[in-house]
Formats: sequence, C-alpha cells, structure tokens
Amino acid sequence: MEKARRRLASMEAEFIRSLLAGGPYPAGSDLRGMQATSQLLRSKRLRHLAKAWPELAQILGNAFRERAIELLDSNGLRQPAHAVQDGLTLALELRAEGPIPDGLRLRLLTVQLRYRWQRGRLQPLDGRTCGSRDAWWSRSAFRD
Amino acid sequence: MRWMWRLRRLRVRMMKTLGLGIGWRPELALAIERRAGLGFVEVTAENIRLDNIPPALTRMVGRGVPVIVHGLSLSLGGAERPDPRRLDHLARVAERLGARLVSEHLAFVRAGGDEAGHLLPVPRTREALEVIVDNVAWAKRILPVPLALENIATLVEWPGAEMDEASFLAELLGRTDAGLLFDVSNMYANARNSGWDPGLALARLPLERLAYVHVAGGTMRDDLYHDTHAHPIGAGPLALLEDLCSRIEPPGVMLERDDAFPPESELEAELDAIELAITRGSARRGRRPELMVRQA
Repeated sequence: MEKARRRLASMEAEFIRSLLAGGPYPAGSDLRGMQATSQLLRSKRLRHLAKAWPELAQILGNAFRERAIELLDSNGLRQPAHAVQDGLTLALELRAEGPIPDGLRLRLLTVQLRYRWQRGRLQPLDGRTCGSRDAWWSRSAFRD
Repeated sequence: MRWMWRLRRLRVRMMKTLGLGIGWRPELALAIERRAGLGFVEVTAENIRLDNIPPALTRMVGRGVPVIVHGLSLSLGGAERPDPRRLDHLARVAERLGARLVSEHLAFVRAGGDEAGHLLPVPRTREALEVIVDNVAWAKRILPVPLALENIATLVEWPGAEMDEASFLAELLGRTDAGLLFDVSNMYANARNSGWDPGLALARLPLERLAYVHVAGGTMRDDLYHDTHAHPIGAGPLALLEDLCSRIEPPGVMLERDDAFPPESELEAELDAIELAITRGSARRGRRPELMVRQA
C-alpha cells in the first residue's frame, strides 16, 4: 500500500503542478484536456479574486484584469493561495505605489485582523481551514 | 392553481424517501424557504461555521427538512489519507445539522503541496483504486453517518486508464460499501466532451447503490461543455435524468445552482423541469416491466 501511495503521490503531484503552471504536461497527457483545465484554473482564480475583492476591481476598473493576470503570472498559480491572499498581495502592491482609497484601506485592515501568515499562507484567525469568505474554497470555486 | 400543487406533491411522493431537493446557498435561502414540498437540502460543509450557522438554515432543520452534508475538499482520491481536521469538520457539521448522509467526490484536489481549488480526476488504475478504497474506508470510520461518493466533471483524462469511469466507480463503491451520489450533469459533460454514450455508462453503474442525484446547468465554451452550475439546465442533462429514472426510482434528486443566481420564478422553473424529467422517466419505467421486476 505504501508503494502504491508513493507512486500515486508522485503522479498526482506532477499532474497538478503542470496544470497550475500551464505546462509542460506529463508525457502522454491528453494535451487539449490539460490546456483546457489549466485555462479553467486560471480563469477561476481571476474570477474569485474579483469576487472576494470588489474594491480592487472598482479602483482599477479596466486595468483590473491586466493587473490580476500579471500578479498570477508572476507568483504562479502554484503558490498556495486563496482569493483573499491573492487580493491582499495586489492591494499591498497598490498601497506601495501610492495613496489608496479609504474603502481599500479599511478592507486591508479587516483582512489583517482576521488572518495571519502561517507557513507562507494566509490563514483565518478563527481556526477555520477554509470558508465561504475565502471564496477560493467556496462551492462555486469548484465549477466553471 | 391548487391542483398543480397537489400534482407536484404527488410527483415528489413518487420518489422513495428524499424527494426533490436543492443545494442550500445563502443567496437562495428565501426562495428555498418559500418552495412548497421541498424534500431535502444539501449543505456544503466548507461553507458552514459551527459557531455561526445561518438562521435560515437552522429554521429549515427546525422544520424537519432533511439535510445532506456535502464535502468538497477531503481529496479522497489523493495519495494521502484525508486530513483529520477536514474530516472532523465534516462529521461535526453532519452531527449539528442532523444529517442522514454525507457525500464527497471521487476526486483529488491537492498533491505535492499544491492546491488546485478544483476537483481533479483520479488515474483509473488498479493501484490507485487500492489507495482510494483505503482512503474511503478511513473516512467512513470517522463519519457519523453513511457516505456517498460523487462522479465529477472533468475536461481532462489520465493516460493509461485500466477501467472506464463507470466501472471504476462501481468497483470502488462495491469495495467500500459507499453509496452513489450520481451527478447526471457531470456524466453528461464527460460523455459529451469525450464522445461516449452516457446511456451505456448508466448501464454499468451500480444503481442499486444510488443515494441521490445532482442536476445542474452548463454551457458550451470553445467546443467543450462546461458544467457551470450558473446556467439553466439544458436538454442533455434532463434527457439523461429521464433515462436514469426510466431504469430506477431515485431516492432523491436535487438542483445545484452556485452562481448567477436567477430570480425565484426561474429557479421554480428549473425545479419543475427536473420534476417533469423524473415523471417522464417513471412513466417509461412503467412500460418496461423487466426493470420493475429487477428492482423488486
């Protein structure tokens, strides 16, 4: 059983890593299906970022999509993150670039009060492993 | 109008235990509370905080509406045994809501430190099956109520599959004594995208293990059918539901709607369309005595 688990772990790790990175895919893969799934994961991540942080979409307007894609491409989808963490990274970038509106400052404060960094990942302070507020793990996050 | 409600109740009673249900979402809470004759609701465990259960959901439970708790993130198809914290949360939510059943997916969502945030297919090999059987057995030992496993929608297949989807699921359910949560729309999506006949797959599924059924809407994008849960249910999934109901009387059938929430009237129309497909399927079953005998 341990041997089977190790082999499955290796196969699934390569599968998920290549999907999140958008390739290269394991030899013999269903290329069209892998590409479609990579695209699905990326568009989902963008959609959930927009949903979890409406303030960012409001402030950036048409530039939101471009900035969000830039963020995901530079960090990579592999970075274990949920929508709150993605949005926090982008909001901190905007704050570093200049003054930000009060609404976004308030949201930043709220997130900092509710979450803490743990092993490179933003974790809810109330001990939840996940939740609807994180959006990344919400029901619709699993669909497209 | 009264006769319509009577007909609706009669149709719902035609299903053995659960009847017609819906996935409980905060955005749909009011419409769900107002829907007459609703047999059950399915609640997503990851969206429930035990210290802050939505009052509308508590009212449903108080009214005696049966609840099924549905998990998303156990990763039963993963190489590691399910995370005890996630399993514990699932068990606690089930206990708190008095659920009669818990369901999860035949899928993995994390591996090698990466988190997909998406249900991914498992390699359909004998070796993987051994691991998943062990994972499911482990989960069942902790959960306070029976477990049902759901087939997922996927745009990708692993190379080197040793079994087709239905046969793999059948063997897993047989070896773990788990129930079947059959997602009509997921099977429709996979069949359509891969070009196989979902009716033939239905024939290979262990329908005697059927716990309940999911139905949802989807859309075509870039020549692929996407099971979005954000569009109205199309003719394809409804036809497959009818086919299913022509073979067996499902214990319960429910609508999943997770985004682009429609007005109440459209939601009602979706539920009515599901009921109609069930009724049509049941009528066809009535004309197929050999299936009636097999069920008896």
